[in-house]
Amino acid sequence: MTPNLPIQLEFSNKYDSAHALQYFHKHRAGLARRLSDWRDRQLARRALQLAGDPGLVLDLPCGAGRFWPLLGEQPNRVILAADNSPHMLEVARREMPPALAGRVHTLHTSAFAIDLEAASVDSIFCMRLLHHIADPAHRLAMLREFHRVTRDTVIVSLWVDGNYKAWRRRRLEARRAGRPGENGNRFVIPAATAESEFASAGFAILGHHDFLPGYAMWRVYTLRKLA
Amino acid sequence: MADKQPLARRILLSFMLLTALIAGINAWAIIAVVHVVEEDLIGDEMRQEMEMVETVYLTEGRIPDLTGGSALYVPTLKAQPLPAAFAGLHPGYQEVVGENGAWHVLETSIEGHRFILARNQDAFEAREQMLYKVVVGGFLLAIVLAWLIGRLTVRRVIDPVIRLAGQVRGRDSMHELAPPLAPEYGDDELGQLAGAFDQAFGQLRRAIERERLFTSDVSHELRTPLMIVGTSAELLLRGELSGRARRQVERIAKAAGEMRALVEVFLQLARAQAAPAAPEAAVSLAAMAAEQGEVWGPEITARGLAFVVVSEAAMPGVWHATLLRAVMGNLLRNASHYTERGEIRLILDAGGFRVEDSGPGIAADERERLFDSFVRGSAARGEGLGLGLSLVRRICEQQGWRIEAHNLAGGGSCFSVRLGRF
Repeated sequence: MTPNLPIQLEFSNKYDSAHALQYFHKHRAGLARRLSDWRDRQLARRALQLAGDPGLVLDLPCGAGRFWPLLGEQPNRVILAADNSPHMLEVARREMPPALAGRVHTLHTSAFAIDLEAASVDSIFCMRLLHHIADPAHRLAMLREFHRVTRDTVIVSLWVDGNYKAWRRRRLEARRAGRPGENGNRFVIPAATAESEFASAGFAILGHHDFLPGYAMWRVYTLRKLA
Repeated sequence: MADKQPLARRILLSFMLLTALIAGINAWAIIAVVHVVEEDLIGDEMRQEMEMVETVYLTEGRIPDLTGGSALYVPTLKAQPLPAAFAGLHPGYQEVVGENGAWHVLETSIEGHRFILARNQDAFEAREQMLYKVVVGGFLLAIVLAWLIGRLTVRRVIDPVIRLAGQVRGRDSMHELAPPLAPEYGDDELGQLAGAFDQAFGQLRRAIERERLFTSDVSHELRTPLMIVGTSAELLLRGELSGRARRQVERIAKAAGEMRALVEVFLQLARAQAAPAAPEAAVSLAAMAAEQGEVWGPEITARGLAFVVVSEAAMPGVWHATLLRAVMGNLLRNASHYTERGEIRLILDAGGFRVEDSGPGIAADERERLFDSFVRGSAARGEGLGLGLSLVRRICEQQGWRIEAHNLAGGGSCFSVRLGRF
């Protein structure tokens, strides 16, 4: 892998304008979705608290701005929102709550070569991206880039093993072996692997929160950059 | 935690010491008072009992039977063994400790007979033991409470300080959108401290911005006169010139060229962001190595040194020409300045390039400050202000390149530049 050639991920091409709008409404329909959205926010809130309530947060990828109201709960916080898809940014900007208008600044950039100088934000808030990246080298490249851009902490969510859902998924995959799955762009990363990758990218783990311990795969890690 | 927070530990410790002192004095006072009261009360009670005995004896002539746990000994009138512990009694109230427990004892003489009234302390002792337990328990509880309140206070006072310290660390590099710190803290001493940091960082930012603008303005203003000097020298060289004058004009043209390159670098560095190179200003590593080889090769060979360009691996990608030229040129200039004999190698590898020489190497105490401005090697020679390596470092920082210097095993030094972001 050469540092100059930006890494492109397969899944990131699907976010055109219509898809982006659909994505914006996705988390607002149905009771189960609402409940899971509520739990997502709770996890994010706890992770931010663990990170010491950072003042300048880079929301990457921000998607349709789903976490902006949450990030804006701290009145003094400034949010830098970045996404690889200009359509997502456009939809997010259009649907942005007016109260946040002055505090969210959007930025079109890739997570692998963030268009910011070294140590320019307090924290990088990276929800639901790492589980899309299968190649450990790509994950490490991204974590290293996070290490460069953050001044203090990184919050990442990913799918880890050691729970019922991951076990069922592995069984399903074993049964379907040979046939390509239709949802082949999301991956479970063993917790031990993820943690050793964090360490080799120069992060210490401050703590983690599980979506539903023992059952769900989602886990949110709060990492602190080591000098 | 405690080792790294001496202040927190000290607050906690003083809380607990103060509580231990106050609770200790209290406990001691309670026990002392209880002791004094016990003696007074029991003494009085026994004296009353003895008066009753005396009245009965004097009026009825008999020794009354006592109820309520007291025992009456009259050795001269009652056939009854006197406990051994009562051997050395003296008239009046006293406490006696014998084999079978402690006793309150009152001795009086009635009509020449010794009347000894004794009351076992056991029941009272049990109550006293309970009192001691309560007092000691209260003392320990007070210390535990002090520890808890101390912890809470420390959290309230020290944690925000630690948080503020974390927020201030490395803040100078932060994005200009970074919000001020003060609003996150209340209108108290910490808020004032945060406000002071905000102010200091604001001043720092403005100072850096002013310096950047100044460098940019100066570089911009210098471009035109330098261009005039350069082109004039070139025009002069085309005309008829004597040998000596030609050499002088050639030197002027070369110096003007170098100065223009330097001004270009300053201008690039003064730009706020590491802007990607324009396509016409981008160059591959191999092309730049060839160009620099042509510039520095003859100069190095003229000094009696060998110059070789080695290509270990080809690195794809293009880089900012002006900045890459400045980095490579300065490293080659530096190598040629400090090398007396042997060779200078420019090596291209997969991650960047290295400049190796067979000079004296870098002294250990110089390595730290090697890339500071105006610092020159102890064996300084040639012209130059010592700006070269500091310029190289600033370019590398801005471009996200990484530069390292170390000594080679066989003598000489190696400057290694890793291109690309790390």
